[in-house]
Amino acid sequence: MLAVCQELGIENEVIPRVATAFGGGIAGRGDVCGAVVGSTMAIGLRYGREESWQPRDKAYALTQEFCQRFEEEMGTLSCRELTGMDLSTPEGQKAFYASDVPIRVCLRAGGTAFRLVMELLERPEPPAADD
Amino acid sequence: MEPNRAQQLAARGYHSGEAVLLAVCQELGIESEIVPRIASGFGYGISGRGTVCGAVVGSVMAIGLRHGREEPWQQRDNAHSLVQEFCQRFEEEMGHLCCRDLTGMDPSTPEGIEAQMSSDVPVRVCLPAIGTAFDLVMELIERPDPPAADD
Repeated sequence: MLAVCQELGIENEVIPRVATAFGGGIAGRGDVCGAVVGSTMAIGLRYGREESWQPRDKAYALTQEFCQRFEEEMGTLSCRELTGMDLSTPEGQKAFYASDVPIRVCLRAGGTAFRLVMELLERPEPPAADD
Repeated sequence: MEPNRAQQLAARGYHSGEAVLLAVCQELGIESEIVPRIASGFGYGISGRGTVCGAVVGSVMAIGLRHGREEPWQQRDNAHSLVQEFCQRFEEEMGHLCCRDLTGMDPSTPEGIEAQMSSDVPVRVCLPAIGTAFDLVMELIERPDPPAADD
């Protein structure tokens, strides 16, 4: 997420703190990959809403497309399935860092997520539909 | 029981992730132009995928606001242990962390979302999930830091 913000020139004191605890699929629980969460946040930064009456269709549509394409490239959105490891214990984390998974899987997931988000965010807006 | 701040925001139309994050920020006096925008894509378990509940994601973000890090060499143990405790207690109270398991519904299609909205799920499941998440986060982030361990 920090990378997308740097790329878009967004500076804010809450970044990347707001994403800190998503490592290891939400603090080691092995749920959804932190790169996917960071990407969804990044899409929200551009297309999210301030007020509850504003539409969020654009953020939803882009996030859905992001998830689908990430899944196509990486096979799954889940940390545990991506890494094949259990990060919920100190021993599991130690095994993870001693393996090639951080480079073979996580770097690639981070790179894929960043490339997809930038492509989606930089895509020109479709012309507004006449109602 | 009086709805808490996050539930009030949800009643105004914010979805779970936005409601929890915005409510915590209001409570802590954090004003940021990116809140709640940064959480907008997490409704219905990440934009309708039915994965992790938006209230959980909003809570993890909120814990990061208080206990996250700026630089990669800084430690993140406190944020991680608070989030682990949050997830465990949310799961104990609500049964699941996952949108699809919590609601028993499939939000991946417009028809699925419509069915959910016209059911009792928003009131029976989502509002309690939002309220629980907000109360847990506020309790965890307001708890005094444990005394620093001597190394």
